[in-house]
Amino acid sequence: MIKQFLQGRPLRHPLHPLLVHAPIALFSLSFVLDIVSHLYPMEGFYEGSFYCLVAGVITALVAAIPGLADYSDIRRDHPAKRKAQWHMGLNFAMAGVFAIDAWIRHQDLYPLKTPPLPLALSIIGIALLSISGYIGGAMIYDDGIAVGRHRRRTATPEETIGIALPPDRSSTSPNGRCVPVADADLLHEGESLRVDLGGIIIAVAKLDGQFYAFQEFCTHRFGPLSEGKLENGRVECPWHRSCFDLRTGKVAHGPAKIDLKTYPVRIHEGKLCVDFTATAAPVSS
Amino acid sequence: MVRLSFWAILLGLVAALIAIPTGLVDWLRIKKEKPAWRIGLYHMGLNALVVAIFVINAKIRVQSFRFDTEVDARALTLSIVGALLLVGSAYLGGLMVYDHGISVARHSKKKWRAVAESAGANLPEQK
Repeated sequence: MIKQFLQGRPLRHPLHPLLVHAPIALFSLSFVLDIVSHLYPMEGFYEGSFYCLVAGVITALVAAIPGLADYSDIRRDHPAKRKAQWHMGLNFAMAGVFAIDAWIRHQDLYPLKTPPLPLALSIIGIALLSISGYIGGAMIYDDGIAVGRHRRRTATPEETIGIALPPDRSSTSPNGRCVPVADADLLHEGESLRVDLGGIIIAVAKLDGQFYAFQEFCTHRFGPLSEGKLENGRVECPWHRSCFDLRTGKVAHGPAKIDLKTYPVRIHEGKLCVDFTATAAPVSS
Repeated sequence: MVRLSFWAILLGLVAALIAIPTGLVDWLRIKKEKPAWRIGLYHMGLNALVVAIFVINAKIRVQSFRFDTEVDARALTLSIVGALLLVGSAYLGGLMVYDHGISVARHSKKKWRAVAESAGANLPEQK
């Protein structure tokens, strides 16, 4: 409940990228005032710059909280997890640098020009902020983290289940190679698993008591369908809302134009088994 | 502090001017029939209004900001209205990204395509 609020579900917008505008603006303004104090040395710029720093550090700490809530939802093996760790580490370093900066400044608020030490700290802080901000943006615009997350009502997969394919041996079904991927109990209603079947990546979902397996990647811009919304026998891509029929893989509505590959699933001795040799749906024209 | 807020407004206006062309370019790429197009239009309209409000705000302040100890009541009102409109407009901007996926995976399309391809997915024809 708290996590849902911190992730901004009611707003349809994650809170972290919304709140970070405050510290970014305050630190930037503080730095601009430092520069202005050197161009036009005048009383008040340095003091103003100090207050911006203090407010920046406080708002940065506030913004960190929903940031952690978003972080906890990134799949463990997602490349963005590492980006998020860098983003977080750099931001803590940045807030630390600015906090020390502010502490040094508060000892004397009335120089006309920003002295070298606080100025140097601010330059370092701004550099860290720029890099970390860029990484944060890359997580959203490149990796689609937190995009469309609010439409999914259930938890997203915590990690990819890796299954090594058996070389040739056997199968539980006469007409294909059926591979057990997980205990059927593991998959709750409305949730999905992300499975790597010897390189083939699929999503296995349970909706209205039925199990479905289909390709993980949307056919539009390749968004993660294991994180999509499951409803009315369909899966909706979290990124641009392309919708596919779970049973046939057919596009229900775009932007995607190409159907998904789907795979037969059955339960065998309590295990979910996926027949990865057969695809149920042909590619549409 | 009156002086400080004047400089903050100027900085904001300069930064807004820089951001305008990038926003326009993003908006022009959205297809007109998509709901995000209309949100973008409101986002743009509100932002233009906010910029106008802060330009007037700065004009009111420019004569006396060096000596004032208290902010002019008209300027303060404009700042409050401007800030509220800005929050609303920024929220619309956020909706376009987080709810409609505008600009998401635009530059990383090739990377994800390669990942999907090696994962045995059906793919659209390469353009």
